[in-house]
Amino acid sequence: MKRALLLMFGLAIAAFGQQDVVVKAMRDELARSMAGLRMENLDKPYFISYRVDDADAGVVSATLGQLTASNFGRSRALAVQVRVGGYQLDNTDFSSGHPGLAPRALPLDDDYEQIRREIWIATDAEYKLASATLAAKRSVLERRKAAPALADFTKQDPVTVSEPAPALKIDVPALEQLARDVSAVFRGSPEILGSDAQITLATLTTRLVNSEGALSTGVRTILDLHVAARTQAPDGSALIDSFHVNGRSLDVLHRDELLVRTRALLARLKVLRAAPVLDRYNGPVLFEDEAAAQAFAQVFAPAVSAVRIPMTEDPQVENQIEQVMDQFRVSLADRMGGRVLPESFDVTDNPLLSDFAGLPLIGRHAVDSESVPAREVKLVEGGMLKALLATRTPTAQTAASTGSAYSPGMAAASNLFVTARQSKTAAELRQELLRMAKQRGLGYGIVVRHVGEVGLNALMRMALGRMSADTGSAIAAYKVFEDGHEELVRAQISPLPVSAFKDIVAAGDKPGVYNIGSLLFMGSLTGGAPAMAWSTYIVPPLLFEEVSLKAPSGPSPTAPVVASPLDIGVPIGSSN
Amino acid sequence: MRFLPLLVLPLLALAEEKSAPDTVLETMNNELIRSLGSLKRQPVPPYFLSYQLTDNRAVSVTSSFGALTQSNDQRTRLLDIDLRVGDYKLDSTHGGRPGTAAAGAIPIEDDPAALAVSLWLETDRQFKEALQLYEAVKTNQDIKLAQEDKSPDFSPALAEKHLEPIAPFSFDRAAWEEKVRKYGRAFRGHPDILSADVTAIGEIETRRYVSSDRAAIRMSMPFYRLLISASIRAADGEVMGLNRTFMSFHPGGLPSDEEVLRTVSGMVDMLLALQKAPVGEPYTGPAILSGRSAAVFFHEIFGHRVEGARLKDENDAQTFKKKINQPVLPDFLSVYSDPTLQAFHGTDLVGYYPFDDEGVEARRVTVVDKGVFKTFLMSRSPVDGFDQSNGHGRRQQGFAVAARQSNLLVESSKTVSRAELKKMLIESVKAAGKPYGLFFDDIEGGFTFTSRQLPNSFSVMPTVIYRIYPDGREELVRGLNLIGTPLIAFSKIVAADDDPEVFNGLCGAESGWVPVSAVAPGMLLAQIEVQRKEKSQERPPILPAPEADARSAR
Repeated sequence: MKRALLLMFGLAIAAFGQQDVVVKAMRDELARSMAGLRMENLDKPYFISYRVDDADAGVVSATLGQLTASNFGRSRALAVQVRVGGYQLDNTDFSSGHPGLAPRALPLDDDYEQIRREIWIATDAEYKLASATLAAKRSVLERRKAAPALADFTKQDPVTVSEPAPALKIDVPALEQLARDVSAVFRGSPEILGSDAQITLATLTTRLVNSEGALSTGVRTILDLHVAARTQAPDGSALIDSFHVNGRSLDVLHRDELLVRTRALLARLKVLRAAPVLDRYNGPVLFEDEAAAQAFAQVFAPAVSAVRIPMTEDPQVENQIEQVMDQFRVSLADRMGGRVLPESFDVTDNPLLSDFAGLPLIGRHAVDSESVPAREVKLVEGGMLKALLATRTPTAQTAASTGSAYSPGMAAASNLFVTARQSKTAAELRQELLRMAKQRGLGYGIVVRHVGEVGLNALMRMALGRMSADTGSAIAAYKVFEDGHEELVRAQISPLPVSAFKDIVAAGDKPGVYNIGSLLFMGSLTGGAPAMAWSTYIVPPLLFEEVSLKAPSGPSPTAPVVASPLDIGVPIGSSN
Repeated sequence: MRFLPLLVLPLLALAEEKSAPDTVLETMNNELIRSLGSLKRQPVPPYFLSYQLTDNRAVSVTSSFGALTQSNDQRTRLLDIDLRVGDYKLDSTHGGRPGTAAAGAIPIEDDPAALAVSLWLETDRQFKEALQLYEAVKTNQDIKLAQEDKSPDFSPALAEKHLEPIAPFSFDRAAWEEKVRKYGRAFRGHPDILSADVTAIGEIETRRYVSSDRAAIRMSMPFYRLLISASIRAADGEVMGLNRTFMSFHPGGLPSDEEVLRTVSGMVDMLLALQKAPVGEPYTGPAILSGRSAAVFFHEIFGHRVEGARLKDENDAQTFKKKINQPVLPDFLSVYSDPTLQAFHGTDLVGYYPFDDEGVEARRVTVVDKGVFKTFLMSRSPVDGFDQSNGHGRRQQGFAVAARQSNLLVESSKTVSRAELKKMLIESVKAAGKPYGLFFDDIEGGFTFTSRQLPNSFSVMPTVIYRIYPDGREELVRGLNLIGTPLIAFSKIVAADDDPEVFNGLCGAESGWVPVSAVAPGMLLAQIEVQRKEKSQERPPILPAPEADARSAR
């Protein structure tokens, strides 16, 4: 169902905005700050934006049929952006070592006076920080005797956008019961060492105003259900598997379907535990189901999102960031106009669609976080890279925003459609996989359907490795033999370089639709906080020419010393 | 009043036991016995295991200048496991250890199977961790110099049984949202006031404890708090804050609207007066500490030095270690730590608890008797000469237990009236030829160094200070910290008044934040020292406050 979307250009104020006390406080304080905020001998702000997010949010989690947490609450947060200098040269795109100011909590009450007061204090702090940053940046430029090649910010005609949405009724007891029911699937399985079902739900009411005259207001719900379980293979290696269900409403939560998926996860882990280890494999790999979408989400989409490496006090730091990006081949920015996929492939990002083939798309939005109207972007045509997802921060390849800012200066995919003009049926894909395997003298081909928590992006895996020791854990891969039978094996998959996408051999004819939350890890490379972006990937099965898999390595903790209480029959309660 | 709960509770507990078995406590106990039984067969088995499960529900509402900024209702259940391998003499915790918090989520519901699995997984994790620590401890023993303190690592305790019923809890969130709005609005109309936050918290905590000592304890206690804090900036940039805290174990124990609004109005007047007050000068001379100030002063400067666990640390200055049976305070002062006391002159004491976090019954401890030092506050971690706990092993959930204060009571056998104390101050001001004496009406907190690497000085932060001139005139001053060294400061106490005051607060140290109280009379010190407080270099906001701007435009 398409929601009402009101899109007007110009200075008219949408009905939502006119009566809203918060918007009035934002606009009044914006006008006062633009008119009067100035320290002697220093630049005054040339651009200010305020964003206020009202969040009705909560988490419900459960293990073995029992709640471990259930907390819902309201919050209201203000993010302020103050730019001093001018569009050509301002205080941004410079890493000063200051972590930046955290969003400020605002009163939950629609209290005009108090909200203005908080905006006043936050703007003052941002302005002082911006002035200090611009001074530091200018002195670095002077030292380097170089004028910046790129402007820092692009101009934007103001838009007024209102995206209302029906109020979401959160039935907390029902969500709690769902979390209990899903997590109870693991109750009969002592070999599962930890399991968890978690539902995170947030309804955000966003108000965005800036000094160019833009005003956007919108309501959107983000839902994430995450089921995870871990076990150990008899040889000690840790096995973790999980799945997510994401959506823009509670409609995507179907109890019976979730139970089926959870039982499948449990079955997969149980089989995987006993499965033989794949020793070493270099050859064609068929990515089916979610694995194909994850390949695009984790490797390709970040590579076509424009990134501006900020200037730093020490040019060495910029060089190091560039080296890391080169080494891990995480960006395709310098391949503009060149072939990055097979010639039959097109890739389009379309934030304006709210559903596809009856399935809701999570990435829909009318205006981005920099007040730029969202639009369809043809990224790849006939295998050739035509555009990058861009924000209002120009890069060498992007002069104008494509309305893709997930947060200011940070681009991300919304609804990413991958299509192939020539496709194969599932049976044809398998035949092709086996043909290529045989060519290499291999007795079987490999199919991957699900990459779980492991991740396919080299840089992300390295970053996650620092946070958790479990990232060496194995995935389920399937050996496919000539007679058509499959054998499950435990394997560790090597990260996919973005260059491997050029050598995709074939695509299937039935695309899958997957809502995926991914970490915008490029943000952490350039000093920002990594944010989660929620996007939909519409991707067909993909046959890659060469992918490496090997035996799982990594820590192998000893098994629990005492038997599980589930093993010895601690009475199981009635919560099933 | 004081003994009533202890007499009544066992009867209630029996009734409770008969009517509703505590499946959570049973599961904890069963799993503890099962795990220990199995782990005993290991080459290096645990010799001690305890589970503490803390259920907490906290309803909390906050306003800023009367606009609601936060309103939450949160339930948590936290598990702390103390698992020790080795023996009482030398075990895996020797020389410190990481926190005791569970790594995974603990079910907040009571089904035995899910809870047992959580207990099992955490026990396994802690057992493996303890084995590694124990290996390191033994290796260290071989390569390091013998320590001065030869006391064991742990002491045995009784198989205590104490089962309180789950306490009733009542906190009307919507009504409190309205109250904090109303209280906070009373700070409006003064553009110079920087912040004005009012928070009300209703909390109920139920702690269950089982151990291989065969202890089984359930304590359940509600805790209601109202916190008011506000600050103002002086023309020279100094930011001055005031805090008022009300705490009670009873839903009706918080003050009435009239009393709170009176408090707020007093805070506004005091902030405006502080803003205009002159900055004090560095000074040495006689001073009075109000009862509340003396209570904070004793908690910070004296109390932390009698917490026994620190004596094990070779780097600790151990101020009182060799002072047993020697005078450390004037002979008219005695100091007790009494966690069994629930209230003092009608004010609840938040340092109250019937059992500590190691399953040891709380008891009154005489720390100083008529000026003579008697003993330390002890947990189950012995130190030379003190081999038993006296019920002061406390922690915030997730932290390893340490000996901590509870209710610190400073009593004087010789008292004078408040007016008399001021008269005595003026006399000593005149005798010393000083222009004025100081009166510390309120102290916010402070800190003290107790390690050997640093001078053992203290610094406390008074919020309300008056100069008292020889003619009796009082003048508010700002910008001063009270500094000194502990032993000299204690020796300068010359008199106490007859009006003890209560300080209730949360105290943070090695084992996290724990609620504490201190009660002390007002005191005259023959000599104190104050120094200028550090001042923020931050520039005030460039634009005036929006409401002030609007007013001037009119």
